[in-house]
Amino acid sequence: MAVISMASPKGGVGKTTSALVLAGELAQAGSTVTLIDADPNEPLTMWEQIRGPREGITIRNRIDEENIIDEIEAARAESKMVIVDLEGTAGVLVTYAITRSDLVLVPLQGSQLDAVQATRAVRLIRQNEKALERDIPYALVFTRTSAAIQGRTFKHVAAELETARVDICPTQLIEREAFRALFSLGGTLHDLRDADVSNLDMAKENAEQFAFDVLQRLPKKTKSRARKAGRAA
Amino acid sequence: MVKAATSEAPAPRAGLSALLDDVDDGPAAKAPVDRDTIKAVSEEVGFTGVPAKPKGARKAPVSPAPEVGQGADVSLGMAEDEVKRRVANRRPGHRTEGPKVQWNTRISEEHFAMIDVLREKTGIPYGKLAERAIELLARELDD
Repeated sequence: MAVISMASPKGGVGKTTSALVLAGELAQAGSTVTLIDADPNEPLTMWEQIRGPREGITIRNRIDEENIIDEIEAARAESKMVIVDLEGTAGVLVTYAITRSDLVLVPLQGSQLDAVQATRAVRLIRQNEKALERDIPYALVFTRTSAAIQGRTFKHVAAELETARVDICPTQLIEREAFRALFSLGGTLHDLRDADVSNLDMAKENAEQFAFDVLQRLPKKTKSRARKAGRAA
Repeated sequence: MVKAATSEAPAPRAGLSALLDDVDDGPAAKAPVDRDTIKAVSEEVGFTGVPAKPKGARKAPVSPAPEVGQGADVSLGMAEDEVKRRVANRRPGHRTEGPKVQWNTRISEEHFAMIDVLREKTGIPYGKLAERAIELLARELDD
């Protein structure tokens, strides 16, 4: 019922990994999840082929500009949560997905190049808000960060974004072997064994906190109803 | 304030379930679809690039790669004589002779001459352009 898009015009920032990690946590928490594989390389489709379909997670692929809105609506009807993994280009497809999203996550690594491209995505979201006359919640998500240290560049980028009043997800996705292993071993973090990767527990903890932060940003029933009641009054 | 996740206490699994129960249908479900507005916003922000075609979605037949000496892609505006000149001027040990391209002998000298033209037109460094071109050509040949 809720649609979350992973958007950034830059490739390799962690969109697919973030989508898959989030889907795994939501499925583990009992939700049905549809992953819309809108990257032409179809990494999520390849992921599914490793272990076969995962209970609670459905993949939709062969996405283009013509069908993405229909696919999102169909996914919304079949699953409680829909996650759209977009291609790392600045194309119209991204805009289509954003217009149908209840939350847009913009993954980036702690580099100036990633930050510049992330701000392009934020600008697109804000333009869509004006055009559609509705709020589109969004958050930047730092990915592949170091668990041990934060470099000067990262600190500088994060400080600049905060100064620009860009929403940033408080949880970063740490660089973990477990996240990379999802694409070689298949399944979710909860299908992996301790013998498969190192620090699996820490990866699970990180993923769970990330999912928690994401869910808190989605529109809530109570608030929505309260708003409706307020308008009616 | 941005902070590492490891410094956070883990959210209880029950917390996730409770939040899931509380998720609304979302305003996007009720918003009308206006493709003209969407395209206008895209153009305004510069999101007009054409995404690559999904794998397997290619409809047009793929023409075979040209053999060495069989002319060039005229879409680049490169005359055949120019191709031959560029190929003839290759330095010894050039990438066309290297191990990186030997895995697919169907990539011809002409392709690398085209890369020269692309480099001149785009200013993209040779190595980056060549790798990208090889990747695209290999994908085309595989398809």
